[in-house]
Amino acid sequence: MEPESTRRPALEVDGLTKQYKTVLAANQVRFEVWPGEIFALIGPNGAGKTTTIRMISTLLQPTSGDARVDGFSAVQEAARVRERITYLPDEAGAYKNMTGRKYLQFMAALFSNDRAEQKRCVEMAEEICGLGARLKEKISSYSRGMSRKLLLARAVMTRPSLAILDEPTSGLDILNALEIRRMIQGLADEGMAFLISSHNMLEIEYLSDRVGIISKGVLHCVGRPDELKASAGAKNLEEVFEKVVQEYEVR
Amino acid sequence: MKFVNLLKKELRELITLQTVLSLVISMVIFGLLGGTIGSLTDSINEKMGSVAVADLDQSEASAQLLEDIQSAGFEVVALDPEDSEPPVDQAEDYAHSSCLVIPKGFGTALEEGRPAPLEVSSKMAGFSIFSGMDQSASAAADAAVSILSSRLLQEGLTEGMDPVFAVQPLQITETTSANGQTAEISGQVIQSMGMQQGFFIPMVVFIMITFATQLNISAIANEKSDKTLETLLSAPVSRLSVLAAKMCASGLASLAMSAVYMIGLGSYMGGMMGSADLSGDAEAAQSVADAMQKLGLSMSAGQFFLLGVQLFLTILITLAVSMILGALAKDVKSSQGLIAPLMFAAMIPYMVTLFTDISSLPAAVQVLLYLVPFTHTYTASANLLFGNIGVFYLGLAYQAVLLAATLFLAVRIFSSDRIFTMTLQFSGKKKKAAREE
Repeated sequence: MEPESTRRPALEVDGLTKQYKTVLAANQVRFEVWPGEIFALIGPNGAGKTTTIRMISTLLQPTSGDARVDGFSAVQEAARVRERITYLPDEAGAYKNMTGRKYLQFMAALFSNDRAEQKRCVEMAEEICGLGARLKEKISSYSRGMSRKLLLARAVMTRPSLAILDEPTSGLDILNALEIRRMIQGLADEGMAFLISSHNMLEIEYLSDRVGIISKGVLHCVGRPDELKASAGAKNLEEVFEKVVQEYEVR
Repeated sequence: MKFVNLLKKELRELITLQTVLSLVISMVIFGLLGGTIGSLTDSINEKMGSVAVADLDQSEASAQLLEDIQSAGFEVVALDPEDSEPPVDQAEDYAHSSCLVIPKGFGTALEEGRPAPLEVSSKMAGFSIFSGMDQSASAAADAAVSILSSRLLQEGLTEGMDPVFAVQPLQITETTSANGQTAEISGQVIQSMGMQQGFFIPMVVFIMITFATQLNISAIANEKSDKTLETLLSAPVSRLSVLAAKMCASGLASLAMSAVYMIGLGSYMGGMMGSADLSGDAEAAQSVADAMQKLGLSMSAGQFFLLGVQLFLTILITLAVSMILGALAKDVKSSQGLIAPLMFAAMIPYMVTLFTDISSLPAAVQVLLYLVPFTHTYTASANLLFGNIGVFYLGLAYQAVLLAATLFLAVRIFSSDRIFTMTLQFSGKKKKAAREE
């Protein structure tokens, strides 16, 4: 990896704020994700994770602040950002009347007009999801785990600069989850940046290069899992999470 | 107790605020429709009790005919035979759109033992069930034939009297006028043909609106609840393309479904009406077609084009409105509650225009109905055929403005984050922005 000072972050979140009528869902959130880095955004339910992720994914418009992907503004240049990211929402579904392969082809065609590139994407997704002959069947016949693997494969097949995965392994059994984590790790090693949100602290600890803990819309701390554990005097990330959240709520 | 607990839960699931609202709205609408149709029926019954007659013969026999008509239970409204205005126009002053005309020579013909001429003259102003339904003159003519015939038969056949004359002593001719033209054809036949035409187009429109609304709202609600919309809108594809693709797909699918339904309905209607009417008799059908043509009640190519433009606008408005409603839906269940208002907006003017001419309704009701864009589509063919071109173009202009407004709103919603934050909740508490966190 090049030194960070000479590189541009894959994602630069700069003071993202989202104010709904009476709720401040995200308040001046700042962090960056570097190429090849796996960044985990964790926090309790209703902390502002999904709102932050949706703003980065250009789905929600921030009240103030910006997020830049490869230097492109999510506010001003949303179309350019969408070319460089993929987003996998938590509990997302796919078009049930399509077969797995048709779905991959459909999504690939949204990202590229080049047939050869589309084919390459689909082949990569087929390999990653490991669904084999089941790809010829309709998605409505898939189990939750199968759908999740298909969607994960879809999210990385276009080799985005930044893959945003909300609860990437939810619904997967241990073996499948391990397989997916290895896949994410492998793609990160090839330079793909990941922004991950998860409630599974074990997964976060295993997978993430850095972790950001968010609560009530505020990003309280960012650091490597071992750094965070050391500074909180905690044995694991779950304890760090508990301490940070409780500390903020008391404050 | 467990059963009661379960029953309560099921009822809470089924009887929601939107279910109750839909029921209340349905009751109000059907109540209003019932009231309107009831008053129209009363008016028709009132009309059927009287008949407008222009006695141009002024003979003893024509006076006897008037007495016979009265004895059959009709109140005779005498029209001025000296008036230069045609009798059917005079009859309009007495709220009649048909009248009997006893022409000169009526009495002489009877004296000579040949069928006496009697004219039933009708004026068409619309094809709806009640608006053109003044059959008092036809009914009075039938009654007159019956009474006169029985009298002749009771008196006994005189020497040289043709028995056929005794059975059919009157030669009834029926004329119908519309758009300033007159053709020798029964008003009932014209109305029946007109209704078949006038029924079909609004029916197609109604079915299309129903399908397009349901398809579009459900499609968006499904995408929202499955979160496929988030995936789609975070992909490098313009929001306008997503919106346009959804609208086109729903439009095409509803068009195809409507076509299938209309083929089925056409075959059903053909079976019901065609066989009873004229379909078996090509010559009669041709004469009706000629009469319709003469009266200006057949659509020209230009009129078909204008009708097509209006249908196109209607479909686009439906799709744009359903896109907006779909954006308000949180999930498939809540989308059902949003379909109902659009369905009512499509159904009420459809029912009203089927039964009566809107111009015959109170001004406030007319305004309310004309605010619904679909009303203009249901009345389009009648407006074009009966020369109400100004009303047609006003409707077209209103639809164009409404389309621009709804499309603008739909595009704004889809190109902003309102597609995710806008939800209409039927919790009975308040609307609020949807936010997951």
